[in-house]
Amino acid sequence: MIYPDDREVAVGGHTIEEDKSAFIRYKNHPGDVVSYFAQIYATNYSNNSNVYIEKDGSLFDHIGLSQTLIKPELQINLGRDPLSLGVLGVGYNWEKISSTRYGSDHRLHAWYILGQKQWVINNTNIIVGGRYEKNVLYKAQFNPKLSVAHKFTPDFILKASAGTGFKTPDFRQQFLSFDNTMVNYFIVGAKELTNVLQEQIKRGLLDDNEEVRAFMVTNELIPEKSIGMNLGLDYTLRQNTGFKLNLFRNDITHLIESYSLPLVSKNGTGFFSYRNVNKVFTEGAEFSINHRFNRFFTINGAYQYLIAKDKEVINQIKNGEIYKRDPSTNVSSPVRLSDYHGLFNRSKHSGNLSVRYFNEKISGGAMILAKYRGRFGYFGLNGFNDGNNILDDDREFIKGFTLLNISVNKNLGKYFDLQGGIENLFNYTNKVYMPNIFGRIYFINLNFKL
Amino acid sequence: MQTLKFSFLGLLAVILIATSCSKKGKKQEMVIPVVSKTDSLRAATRNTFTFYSFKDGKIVESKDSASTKWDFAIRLATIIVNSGSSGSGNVGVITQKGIFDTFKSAPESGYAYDTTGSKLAINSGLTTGWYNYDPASHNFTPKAGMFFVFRTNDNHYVKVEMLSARYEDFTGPMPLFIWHKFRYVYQPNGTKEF
Repeated sequence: MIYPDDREVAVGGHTIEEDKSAFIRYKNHPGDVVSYFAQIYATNYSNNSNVYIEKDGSLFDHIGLSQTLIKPELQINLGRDPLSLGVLGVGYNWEKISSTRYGSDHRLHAWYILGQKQWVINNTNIIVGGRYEKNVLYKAQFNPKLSVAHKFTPDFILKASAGTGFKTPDFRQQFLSFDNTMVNYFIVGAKELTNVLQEQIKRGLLDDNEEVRAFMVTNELIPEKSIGMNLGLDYTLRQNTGFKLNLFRNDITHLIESYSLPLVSKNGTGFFSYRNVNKVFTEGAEFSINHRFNRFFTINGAYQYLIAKDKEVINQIKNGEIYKRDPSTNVSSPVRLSDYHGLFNRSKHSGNLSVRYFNEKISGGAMILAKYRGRFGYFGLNGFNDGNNILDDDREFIKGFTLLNISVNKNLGKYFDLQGGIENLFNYTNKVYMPNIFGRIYFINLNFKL
Repeated sequence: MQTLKFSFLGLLAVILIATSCSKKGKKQEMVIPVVSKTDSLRAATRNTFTFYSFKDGKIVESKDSASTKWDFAIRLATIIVNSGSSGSGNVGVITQKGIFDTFKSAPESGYAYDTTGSKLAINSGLTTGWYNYDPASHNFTPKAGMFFVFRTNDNHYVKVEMLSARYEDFTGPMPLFIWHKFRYVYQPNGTKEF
């Protein structure tokens, strides 16, 4: 359970990755009114890694993963006019996963039926649809969707939509069984928790007492559910400038989060698992603009404003149940609603800006792309903790940053495409908190297309 | 309103005592001020507890762990109190929510005791206990807006707030010691008022 931050053990290794997929589609148009297609998609992904400790060359960890997905689908289109189509579909998903990090092989299957009908009345386009899905692990779900678009002029379109959605727990949340002996913790999928605890008791690592037994129950995860609404408009000015604005609101219930169990094994291992907890919402606005200067140059810009908050936290703050303690003065005070900045790892402001150049004569071009991510909260940043687990202090924010990429590309004949450039020109890195951002990268790609 | 009234009554009592004392013209020491102290305690991360006495304001040697000299003890982030399964004393404790500074009067009842080894008066559970645990850094941080009200072996009242927990520097794979910083107000006159 306890481990230093600055532990460093040199390890090395290799990974072999294989990715195979196949896709077959059969299309038929038996009459004026009916057409259909049947398709099947199959994919297999496997990954084998060995990690060795450099000091003595001993095998430190072996990670193996194999995932297979088979997805047959049938879709029937009804109607003569493409603008007032009716669509009926049925499909099936079969998934199998085996991993050294899962206790055993796991299979998951789900089937679904979907239907959609579109109408065009004058300049208004209405789509009503729904999807009924049954996953072997969960209750059947029905998700309706309604969207309406009205064309005031060809250059000005107003759009609105509402719908529900759901997200089933993934394999990791259900079946993971990963004992990280190096850092002394054990991450266990909800469905494996009872087995893992039983095993720990059998090996004498946990006592067989009521505290442990409290977690040896049917740990059922249920799908996350959401209700979403969008309101947007598209506006085109003089055919070379487009504006898009979209306002959105999503309410999510049963959000799945990891939690730590109040148990520590006799060799000091802490346990983590997953559960449905929070009710959160996200709302905000997206704005984008694109402009074509001439035959060669275009510019694109996009901006997002996002508020993402936990409703339970808001209620607790309203009831005066959440406090903060300033770590430098040790003074405690109730958290005010205005102090609460929302979920960690979400930026309120983000956007990107790109300028593209393309010249048909030389069939080549260039691009500059800047991606901005505004400041965002990071739990436990620099060891800071003000005595609550919510984002309510400026010291919990990682500063915003911009990544700048430049690239050039040129077609070489019919089949080849050459591309080169620099990613992250400013060499922005944050190794501790964002190890996934590498420093400056130079690259050359040669693509071959058939 | 309740606390306001209590503190007003408390103030009145102090004034009454003060005036009665001055009338007699001696025994000034009857008004004993409360003891406010911030202290740190070095606790082992495994095996042994470190014991503390509010009355003496210092650590109690572990050879006295069977006595009533200590009030509470810590190992890593587990707090025990001197009662029931943990000690020979009768120390009780209430886990209180709110602001430490404005809390003026200890409750009459509701004190919990260490009944069995797995049913301690103070909840030190990883997610439900008195601290927040960060699984990434393994740091413990006392929850803000939570403190303890103790009734000691000789029926004195103490309010205690845990302030921080820091591992002592270490070289091996695991830290051996953790420093807990805390502050408390001890009422030496035996009343419940702070």
